[in-house]
Amino acid sequence: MFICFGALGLWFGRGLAAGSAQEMGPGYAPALVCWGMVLIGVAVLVRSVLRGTDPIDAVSPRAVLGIVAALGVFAATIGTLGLVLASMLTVAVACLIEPKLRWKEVALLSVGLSAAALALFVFVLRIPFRIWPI
Amino acid sequence: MDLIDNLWLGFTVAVSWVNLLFCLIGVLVGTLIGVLPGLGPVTTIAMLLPITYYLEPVTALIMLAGIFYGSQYGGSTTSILLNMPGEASSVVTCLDGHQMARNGRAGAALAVSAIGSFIGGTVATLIVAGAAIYIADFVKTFTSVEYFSLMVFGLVAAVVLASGSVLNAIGMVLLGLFLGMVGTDLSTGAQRYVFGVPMLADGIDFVILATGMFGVAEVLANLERRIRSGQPTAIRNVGRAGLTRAEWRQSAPAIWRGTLIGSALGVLPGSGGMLSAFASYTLEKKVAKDPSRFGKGAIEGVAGPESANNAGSQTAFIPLLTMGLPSNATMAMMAGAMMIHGIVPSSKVVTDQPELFWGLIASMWIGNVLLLIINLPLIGIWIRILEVPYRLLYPTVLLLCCIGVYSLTNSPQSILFMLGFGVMGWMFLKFGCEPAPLVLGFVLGSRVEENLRRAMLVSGGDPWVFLQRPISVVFLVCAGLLLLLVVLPSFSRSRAALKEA
Repeated sequence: MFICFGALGLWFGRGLAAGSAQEMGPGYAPALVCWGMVLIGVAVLVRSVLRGTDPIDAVSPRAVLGIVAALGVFAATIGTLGLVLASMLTVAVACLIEPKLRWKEVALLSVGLSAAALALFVFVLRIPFRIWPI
Repeated sequence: MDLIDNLWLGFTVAVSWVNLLFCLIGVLVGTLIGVLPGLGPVTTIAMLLPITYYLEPVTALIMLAGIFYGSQYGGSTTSILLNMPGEASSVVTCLDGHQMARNGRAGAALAVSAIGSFIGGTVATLIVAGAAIYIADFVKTFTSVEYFSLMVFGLVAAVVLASGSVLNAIGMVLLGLFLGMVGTDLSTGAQRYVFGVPMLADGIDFVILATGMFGVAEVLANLERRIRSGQPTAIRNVGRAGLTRAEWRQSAPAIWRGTLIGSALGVLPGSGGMLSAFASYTLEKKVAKDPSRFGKGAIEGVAGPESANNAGSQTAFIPLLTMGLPSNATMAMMAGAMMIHGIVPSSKVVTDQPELFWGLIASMWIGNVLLLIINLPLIGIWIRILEVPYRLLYPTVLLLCCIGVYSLTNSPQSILFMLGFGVMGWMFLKFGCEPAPLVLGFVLGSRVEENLRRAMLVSGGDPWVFLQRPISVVFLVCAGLLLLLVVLPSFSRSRAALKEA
C-alpha cells in the first residue's frame, strides 16, 4: 500500500524540478519522502512474507455504505435544501445502519439534532447558512 | 518574580467571563466524552475544530485543552463502574478500580481518582509554567539545522513509543509528511499534486483531514466493532464517597509518586497518559508491601495511575508550547487549532503571545478545580450518561463533522474530501496502521521541509552539517538510540505487553 502511494507520488512529481541539494526545487522533498514510503512498503511486504500476516477483519458493508450515503446526502443537499432538511436527511440515513430500525427514535433524533444544529451554528455562532430550500 | 507576574497575567486572561465559560464547557464536554466509551478526546476535538474558528484563539485553546484533560477525569469513571476503559489512558484503572467497585467501594475509588487527578494536574501545571520559559529561551537559539533534527527526533520518538507496528507507523509519518506537502510550494510557488483541483492549491485543509481521519473513520470502526459485541451493564451502587483514614494513608504516597512519574513521562513525545499510567501502576506494585493485593481492589492501584495520567496530560503541552512539537495526536489537534488562527506553534508563542500562553496555563489549573467540583457531586448524572447507546451518538458525530467542515469551506466538495479521508483512515485501521503518526507528520510536514531546505542552503548542500552542531547531534543520536531500542527483544516484549493490556 505504501509502495502505491510512493510510486504515485514519484510519478506525478516527476514534472517538478528537483534541483540540487544546495538549492532544492519544489520536487526535492516530496521525492525524498516518496522514496522513503516505497522503502517502507518493501519492508512491510518482506516482513509479511517472512512472518505471515494477521488476517484482516471482515468488512461490514452495511456500515461503510451507510456512512458513504449519509455524507453523500449531506454534500448533495446542503447547497439546495438548506441546513434544516439536509441535517434531518443525513441523520436519518445514518440511522439506517442500525440493524434494528426504531422509527420513532430516528424521527425524534433527526428533528432534535437538526434543531440543535440550527441553534448552535446559526443563532449562536451566526454562520450565514442557507436554512430552508429556496 | 517573573513567574508570578506571568501567572498573574495568565489569571487575568483566564478569569474573564468568556474564558471561564468556555473552560467550563470544555471540561464538561471532556468529562462527558471521557465517560462515554467509544468517543475519545481526539475525535471530539477534531469534531469541534471548525467551531473554534469563530472564537478568540485563547478561548479556543482553553476549551480544547479542557476537553483533553477533562476526558482523563471522565475516563476513570467508566473504568471503575463498567470495567471498560472510557479512555485509553484509564485502562489500568480498570484493574483495581472495578474490583473496588465490586467490593462496594466505588465511591472511594471515584473520590481517590478525582483527588489524585487534581493533585497531579495542579503540580504538572506548575511544572509547565516553571519550565516553559527556560525551554523556550533555549530553543530560540536553534537554527534550522537544530530544528530539523529536533523534528526528526520528535517524529521518531512518537513512532517508537506509540503502540502498534513501528514499520507501519514510520510509513504513516512519511505519508503524513507527503500529504503536508500537497499544495503550493512555499518558496517557489510551484503547484504540487494539485491535479487542477482549486481546493488543493492551498494544501489539504487540516480540519478536513482531522475530521475525516478521526471523526468519520472512528465512527466506521466503532460501528463494525459494536455490531459484534453487546453493551455491558454498569455498577449502580456507588457506596459512600469518602475515604477512610487507612485509605488516605495508603493512597497519599501513591498520588505523589504517580504525579512525578506522570509529569516526567508526559513530556516525552508519543507517550501521553497511557504510558504514565502503566509506569505508575508497575511502580506501585513494586513498592507495595503486599503486591498480591493488586488486582483485587488495592486503592494505590487507582490513586497512582489516575494521578499519573492527569499529570502527563498537562506536561504533554510542554513540547508543543515551547518547541512547536506536538507529542501525540491530541497535541497535533491543538497545533492544528493554533494554525487555524494563524499562530505557528513554536518557541515564539511564549514571548510573542504571552496572553495566550499564560492564559492557557492558568486556565488549566482553573479547569482542574472545576473538574473536582463538577465530578464529585455530579457523579450520579455521569453514571446515567454511561447508558446512552452508541446508536444515538454516531449520527450526532457525523452531523457535527459535516456542518463544521461545510461552515469553514462553504463547498459540498469538502464533505466528499472528508469522506475520502474517513474511508482512508478506516482502511488504515484495518491494516493495523494508527492514524496518529500520519497527523503528526502532516502538521510538521511543511516545517520539516522548510528547515531542511534552509539548512541545506546554508551548508551548501552538505548533509554532514547535521552532525557538526552539538545540539543537532544529540537529537539525532537520541533518535537513533530509540530506533535501536525497538530492535532489542526485551523492549519489544514490554511493548507487546502494553498492547495486550
